[in-house]
Formats: sequence, C-alpha cells, structure tokens
Amino acid sequence: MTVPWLSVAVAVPLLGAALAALLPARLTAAPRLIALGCAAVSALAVAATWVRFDGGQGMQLVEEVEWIPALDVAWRLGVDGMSLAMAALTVVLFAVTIAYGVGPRPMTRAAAALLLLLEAACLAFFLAQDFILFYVAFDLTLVAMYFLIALWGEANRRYAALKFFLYTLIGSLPVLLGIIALYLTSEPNTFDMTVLAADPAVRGAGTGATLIWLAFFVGFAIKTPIVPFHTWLPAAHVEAPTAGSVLLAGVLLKLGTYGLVRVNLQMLPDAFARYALPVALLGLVSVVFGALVALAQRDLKRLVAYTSINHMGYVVIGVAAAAAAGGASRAGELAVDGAVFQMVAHGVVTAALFFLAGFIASRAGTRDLDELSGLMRPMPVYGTLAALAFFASLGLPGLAQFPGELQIFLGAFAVWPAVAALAVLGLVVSAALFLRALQRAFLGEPAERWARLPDLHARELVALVPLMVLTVALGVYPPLVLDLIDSTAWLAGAGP
Amino acid sequence: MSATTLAWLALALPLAGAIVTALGFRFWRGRAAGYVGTAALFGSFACAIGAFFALQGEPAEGRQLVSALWDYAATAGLDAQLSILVDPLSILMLLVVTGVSALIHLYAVAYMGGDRGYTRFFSYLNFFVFSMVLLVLAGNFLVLIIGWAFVGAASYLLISFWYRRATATAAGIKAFVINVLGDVGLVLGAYFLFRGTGTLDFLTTFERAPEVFAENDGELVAGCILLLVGAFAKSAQVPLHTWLPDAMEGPTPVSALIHAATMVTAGVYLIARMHPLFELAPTAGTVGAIIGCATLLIAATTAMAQTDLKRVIAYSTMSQIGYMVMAVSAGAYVAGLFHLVTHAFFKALLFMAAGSVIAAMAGNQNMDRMGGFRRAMPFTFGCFVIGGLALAGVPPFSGFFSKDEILAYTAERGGIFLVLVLVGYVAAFLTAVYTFRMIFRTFLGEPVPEARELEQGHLHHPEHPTNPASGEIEDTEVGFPGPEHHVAEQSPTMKVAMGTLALLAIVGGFLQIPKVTHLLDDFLEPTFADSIYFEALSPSDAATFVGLGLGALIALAGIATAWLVWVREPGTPAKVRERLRPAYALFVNKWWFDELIGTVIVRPARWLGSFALTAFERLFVQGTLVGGTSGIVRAGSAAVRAAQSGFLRFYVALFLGGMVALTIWFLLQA
Repeated sequence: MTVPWLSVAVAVPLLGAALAALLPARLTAAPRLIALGCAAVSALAVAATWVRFDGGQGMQLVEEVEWIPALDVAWRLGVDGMSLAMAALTVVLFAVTIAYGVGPRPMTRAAAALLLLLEAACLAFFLAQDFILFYVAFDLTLVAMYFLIALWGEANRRYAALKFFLYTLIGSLPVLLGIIALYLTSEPNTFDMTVLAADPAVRGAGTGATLIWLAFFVGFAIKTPIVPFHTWLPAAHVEAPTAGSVLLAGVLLKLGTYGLVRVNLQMLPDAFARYALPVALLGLVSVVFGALVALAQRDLKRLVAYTSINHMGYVVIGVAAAAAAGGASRAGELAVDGAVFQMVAHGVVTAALFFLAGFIASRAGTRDLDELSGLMRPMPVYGTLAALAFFASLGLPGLAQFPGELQIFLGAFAVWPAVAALAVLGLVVSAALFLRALQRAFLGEPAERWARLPDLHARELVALVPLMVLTVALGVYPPLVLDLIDSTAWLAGAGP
Repeated sequence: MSATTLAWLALALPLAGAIVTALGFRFWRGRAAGYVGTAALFGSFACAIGAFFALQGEPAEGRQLVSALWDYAATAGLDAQLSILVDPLSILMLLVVTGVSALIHLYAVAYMGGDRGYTRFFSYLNFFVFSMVLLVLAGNFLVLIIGWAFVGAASYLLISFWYRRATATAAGIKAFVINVLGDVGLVLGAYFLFRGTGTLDFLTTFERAPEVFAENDGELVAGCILLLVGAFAKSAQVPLHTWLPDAMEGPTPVSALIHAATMVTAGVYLIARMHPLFELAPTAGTVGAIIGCATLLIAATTAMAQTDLKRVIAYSTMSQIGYMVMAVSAGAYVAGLFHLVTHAFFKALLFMAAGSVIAAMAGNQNMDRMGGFRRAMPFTFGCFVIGGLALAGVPPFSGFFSKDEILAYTAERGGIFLVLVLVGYVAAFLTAVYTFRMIFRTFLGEPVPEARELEQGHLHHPEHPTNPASGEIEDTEVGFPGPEHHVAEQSPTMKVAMGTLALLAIVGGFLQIPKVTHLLDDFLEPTFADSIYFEALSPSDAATFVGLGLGALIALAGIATAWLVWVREPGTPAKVRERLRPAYALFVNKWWFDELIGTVIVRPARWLGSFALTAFERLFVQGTLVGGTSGIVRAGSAAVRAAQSGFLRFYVALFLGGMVALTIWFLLQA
C-alpha cells in the first residue's frame, strides 16, 4: 500500500492543532513538542513526496477522495514542480518558526494550535487540485494569521490584525466569484484544477474572460501585495509577533503569486496575455516604490516589509512577462522559472530578515535604526549573519535571490527591455538601503546601553542557521530547486 | 595536469583560504591566519604558472579552453553554466592577480600584525582574490557577473574593514553603491547582447555577433556602452570615479591590492575581453577612449593639489587606468594590457612604500605633516623612488615602455585619437610632477619628529590613537587600527615583498622593448588573432623613436619641475596657487564631482524616498486612494462590533452560511 504522503502532510498538522487545543493546561511543555512533532512529520511527508516525484511535467501523485460527487468537489491533492517547491518552502519555514516559537516566551496551547492550523492551511493551498479546497485553505490562512497577530502582536495589534483581515477578506471574495465562474464555464462543470489547467475552459480575452481574470487578479494582488493594494502589509508586519512576520512574508505572500501563476497564467492565458503589460507596470511600480520607501524607513521591520513589496514586484514582472511571451516560449519560460525560484528564495531570505529584526527587538526593545548602533561589536555572530542576509536580499550573486532575479530579468528583457531595465535599477536603491541600515545599526560605535547586549543564543541559532545555509545553497547550486521548478508545465501542451 | 584543472585550482585555493581562516577565527593565534592566507595565494600563483606552461604546450589555435563545473540556472535552454575560459588573456590576468596578491599578502602578514581583526582581514583578502580570479577566468557572462559583484562586495568589506570608523563605513557604502550601478550596467549590457545572440557564453557570443548585428548596430552599441558603464564603475573612470579616493580609508595593503593592482583594472580587462564586440561597434570604442582620456587628465590635475599621500596615489591610479582604457578602447590591446602589468608592479610598490611611511607616522596620511624620512627609512625611500621613476616614465623603468607603447599605438588610429594622445603627453608631464612632489615632500627636507624618532630606531606611537581624517580619538580594539605599526625597515617579510616588486618595476618593461622584444605580443596573439587592429596598428620606426625620446624628455622635465618648485624654491607653490586661484580651486576640490553627484543623484533619490513615504504613501495611498477601503474597514468593524457577535464568530458564520447557500444553489443547478 502506498502512503498518501500529501494527505499526511496536510492532515497531521491539522490533527496536531486539534490535539494541542484540547490538551490540559498543566502540560506546559507539551504544546511545543506536539507542534515540533507535527511539523517534522509534515516535513518528512513532503520530503517523501519529493523522492517519489519523477521530475516529469503535469500533476502527479494525485490523491483523490470524493466529497460532493454531484458538484465534482473532491479532496484532491497533487504536485507538480511548482507545488512541490512551495510545499517544501512551507514545511521548512514552519519547522524553523515552530522551533523558535511565537516570540521570546514559551509556546502556549493556542499558539501551537494556530501555527499548526496555519501550516495545514498553507500546505493544503499549495497542494490543492480542487478549487473548493483551494478556497477554503486560502481563507483559513487568513483566520489563523489574524489570531497570530491579534493575540501575540504589539501595542496596536488589534487594528493591524483587523486591517489585514478585512483587506484580504475583500480580496478573497472576488476569488470565490472567479472560482464559481470558472466552474460554470467549464464543460462538464468541474472544480478539478488539473482539468482546468490542462485545458483552459475560458479562452480569448472577451468581457467574460476579462472579468474572471480580473476577479482572481484583484484577490491575488492584495495578497502579494502589489502597489497600491499593499497598505495592510507594513502595518501587519510591524504589529505582528516575530513568528507572524516570518510566516506572513515567507509563506503567505506567496499565496498571491502562486495563485497568479496557477490560475491567472495557467487557466486564463489569453486574458493574462492581453493585460500583461499593465500588470508588469504595476510590478515595476512595486519595485521602485517599495525600494524608495524602504530607503526612507527607520524601523528595521518596516524596512524589510517594504523590501518585500519590492521583491514581490520582481516576481510579478516575471509572471507578467511569461504571460505576454507565452509560457511555452523561451523568454516566457525563463521569466516564470525565475519568478517561482524568486518566491522560494525570497521566502527563505525574508524569513531570516524578520527573525533578525525580532531578535534585536527582543533584546534592545527597539528596532529603530537611528537608536541602534555598533551592534557588530557586542554581537558579532548576529552582525555577521545579518550582513549575510542583507547581502542576500540586495541580490548579491552566489546567494539565494540572484538566480531568480537573473532569470526574471533575462526573460522580461526579451519582452519589455525598458521595464526590465528600470526594474534592474531598483537594485541600486536596494544596495544603498541595506548598506545604510548595516552602517547605522551594526557598524560604528555601540552606544553605552548596547555595549552589553548578549549575542544570539541556541534557540535563535536553530531558527536562523538553517535559513542561512539554504540561502547560500540556493545561491551556489540553484538546480537544487530550479530543476524541480523547471519541470512544471506552465501552459497546457507546452513542454520545458 | 591540464591548463583548465590548474586554473580551477588557482581559483579554489583562495576560496579555501578564505573559508579556512574564517572558520578558525577563534582558534588562530598570532600570525597563523596571515601565513595560511599567504600560503594559499602562493599556491594559487604556482597553479597559475602551471596553467601558463600547460597552455603554451597547446598549439596556438587551440589555446582557448572552456571548462564547466555545473549548470547554474540552465532552464529553457539557457547556457548558464559555471564555466571558465582559459586563454592567453585570462592566464596573463591570472598571473598578475595571483602573483601580485601573493606578494601583498606577504607584506600584510607583518603590516597588519598589530590589528585585532587580523584573521578577519586575511579571510576577506583571500575572498577578494577568489572573486578577482573568478572575474578574470569567467567563460560566460553569468560567471563574469558573479565575479564582478563579488569583487565589489569584497572591496566594500575591506574598505569598511575598520568598521567602527564612520569615515570608513561611509566610504565603503559609496564604493559599493557605485559598483552596483556598474554591475547594473554590465548586467543590462549582457541582456542586450543576449537578446541578439541568445547565448551567455563568450566564445559563442563572439561567433554569433557578426551574424546578428550589423556594424554599429544600435542594440550592439547600446550593449557595449552599458558594458562600459560597468567597466567605468569598477575602474574608477569619470564620472563614476568618486569612490576610489575615499576607498583609501581601507588598510594600505587593500589599497595596494584592490585599488591599484587588481580590481580597478577589471574594466580594462573587460574591454580587452570583449574586443570582438567593440570592433563591431566602433562608436562604443571611441566613447571608451574619450572617457579614458578625460579621466587621465582630470585625475592627473587633481593629484597635483591633494595633500593626502594615499589619495595622490589613488588619483594617479585613476589616471594610469585612464591610459589603459584609452588604449584598449582604441584597439591597442597589448599596449593597454602591458601597462596594466607594469602598473600593477610599480603601483603596488608605491602603495606599500606609502604604507610604510604611514606606519611611521602612526596612521597619519597627510603630506603636510611629513618630511625628511630619507635617512630614517632608506629602504622605503629606495622603493618609493623606483616606483616613482616607473610611474613617471623614466627610461629604462617599466612604466616608460608601457606608457610609450600606449601613446604610440593609439596615435596610429589617427583623427580624434591624435588629440587624445596629445592630452596623454600633457598628463604624462603632470604625472612626473605630482609623483616627485610626493617624493620630495615626504622624504626630503627637514625631518619631522616622527622621522627623528625613527632615526633613533624607535617607531613613534601616539598616546591616544586618533582618526587622521576626523581627529576623533579611537581605541585600539577590534574595528579600529591596531596599537602597533610596522615599517619595512623593521620587517623582513615586508622587505621581501617590496624588494620583489621593485625588481619587477625595474625590469618589467623589458617584456616589450619597441623593435627589440615582443614577448607579450607573441603570448597574447591567440586571443587577439581575429582582431582588425592587432596587426594593423604598428607605428613606423621614426614614430617609435620620436615617441620614446619625447616620453623620456617629458618625464625628466616633469621631475626637474618638481625639483625646482618643491626643493629649490619651496615658496613657489604658494605663489602659483595665488596666481592660478580658479584652477587650484578646481583641482583641490576634485573638479567638484562629489558635489555634482550629490546634487544630481543622491539628494534627489533621498528626497524621492521621503516623498514616496510621506506624500505618496501617507497622503495619497492611505488617504485618498485607500481612504475608501479604510472607510470600509472602519464601517465593517463597527458593524461587527454592533452585532456584538464577536468578529470571528461572525465571519465563520458568514463563511459557513455562504458555503451552504452555494452548495444548495449548485445542487439545484445540477
């Protein structure tokens, strides 16, 4: 009997969440152990899937259990290169986050339950091959993240959590409408995403197709976020606890761009091709705007949040270039390969950056770059890892974000040279802003009150070191993940 | 072993050195890390020599070997492997880079001996050499871009090495940001070429370029000019040069290695490497030559008015690289590369000698405070004079032959290039003047107290170390220069390194004595065999001898002028300054490039950032545009609160209700 590894990966954290919530309160160590155990099992299940994955195109290892046969709704999970890459990113980030905990304090039952629920929802989203499951998972992530921010966040957490919730809820409603529309237009009616991707039911770019495309786009654009739908992001990040920020930037933002590829690109290729240039321009605005605003920030976490907008802008440009060129063309394939690689790389690097911001805030009580100074001296390990993460984030070759950006730009340059050239210039601003942050907080003379700050302790290193190792590994040997991503069949009938 | 295997080894050893020194940073005692790092470099140099002989063993037409490690980002048929190209040009660069680096490492073993960041220094320095070797061995644009960026990052780390000094970290940022701008130029240039040729591989690009691009094709010219932007940023050519003088905040071995002998010559190497493209796009070549010429003049005049010893040498570096850029852009490839080699010898030597003086001054770099070190530091003085004679172009020192070859070969292009050569001769005079101004002011005249102390055999150490740039008091812990300094006179390893370079600075020019030897020509021929200029540019006998005589005269006249002004009549500089006030203001303020860039680029960017933040982000997006959604947020939350149902319960109810309604609707439909 073959083990349904994908279902295991999703179900174990879900059951773990229930178990953690029902535990008696006096078992104080148990929530953390349960969370760690479930995250480990989930990671193993994804690893097992990777081993069994044959590198071919299309969906494979599909696990299907009927749910509402009349509507062709089913528990359908399956993987292709992109799904597997995102699932792998998810289990890694959840494992290190759970190892670290929600914040400096020990993990409570509620925290363990919410983290596991969030993990199950994210994995279900990336693995789902059924639109109803996809949608339920999309909304569940919202609920879990809302509570993570609202319960463990900082002073203004309620406002930020609500803003996050309403924004993304507003975003998820059009997605639901789009799903229904796709269901109704497919013949025979189906929620099966493999069927809809393999043979897009909606062709052309008429009014109907445009409206459906737009519904999905708005939903995913808010999640990504693309300027001007981004204002929830800095607020949410600043108020979220460290674990919340890490998962929000590392995994949740990718829900938006994953949807953009999976639905807008694969299921509505003609409509996307028509609106590719405006989308790329929005991506370019995100790149430039995110970098410039980040340059003007004093709060380290806010700075990283805005650079996320900048980096997700590169992903959007890549996906749009693929839509314009067609995923089957060489430029298109390069651009979307790079975009998905960048999603993984950005997840790893930005998670590390948010950890770093959290670590300093828990010691110094501030993340203000103008107040902090000379941290390299009392905290050399922290300073060195931060410098490495900063360099990775500004796109230094040999570190994780370089290969993806290279491919995105090579692809996009073939389609719109001007857009790509302007986006590349954003790298100069990124370089300036990260080095300025490094100089202000880490170099120079430490103020008296920072001179005795302790360096990183074991629990923090456990969270950070795997991410830094991945950052270097992805930059030195990108085929590690790139081969997987490249095996994805971006467009129906199109091979790599 | 094959040439490519040896080249990979030459690349791997500095990387291994960097990693080993870094990993053992808690464990290395004394100068162990320095010796490990230096040994790695000498090993790398040995491999380079081995690769040289292995390559010479191949038939001439087979001296272009490509070797790849693994696919880097090779999807969609992109040929993005980690591959190196071993040919005479890359081996020449490899020899210079590893050879000079090995000597500078040897020098630094003693020179940096007192620094608390000793291990970190050698780790960075090894990493730099790895990056530079990667750059020169690159077999495609991917590896070139990686090496190019690594070199910039290593330079940042080393300029900011004394990371508690505000002046050093600011200089590091400036250097890195300008270098990233250059990276962007290089990357975009590569994209332009890739758009046409569909390949990243150098040899394939050169092969396909004539088929894809017509002569002076717009896209090709754009691509080449963008490559030039990358070259200008790395090689400190105007207007992207302002980082180089500031980079003198780094420790002196860094200045010698990175900002004289290796990194800053990357642009020259790039143009020579891309010569098939530049020959297809002659417009771009002309642009390069003009910028190189402008740089050599601007830098030479600026050097006349500076008082910081290392900055004078830095401007001189800029100026000399201007000659090289002009030469390779004009098609005088061997001449430019010849000067690259001799310059690496004598400029590294000058920096080492300057470092020795600066150590005797306890870190102070200001020439106004120096004087009379001749007797206290005879070895340093000798080395400085040899380096100075080579730089000034006095026969038979190395710089004489290489500079002469540049001017003679560039003049062969005729037309506008004759004007450029004329400027080159004017700047050659200035070069001799500022070089000997430096020597006379530092070593002749009344000995300063530090020189007197050293004459007694005692190296001056101030009670409170201060930052020479800002005057702030510093400690001697990690992050600042160490408590003790080292001069060549008291350190055998420094003497060995400097002595070797002095010898090379004297005899290096014999590689290419006009009409007598042509070792470089012969060696590099396989690389440039396809060039339209390689054979065509050859000055007549008469032109050659006129050029040689003129060059020698100009150099001697410059030295004589310097002697008159700074030794014979020490009051003259003040009078000249008075008489030529506007010119002096221009030179002492470095042609106001810093102010120009600050006004035109840096401040607008910062302003744009705060505008985007305050006006756009706060007012427009959050206020006007998203005011609506914020309103919805408020209304929604009010409604929820009014419902007294608790937000989540409300949502879950809504969600479940919606699902149920949908299900019913679908069931009815079905």
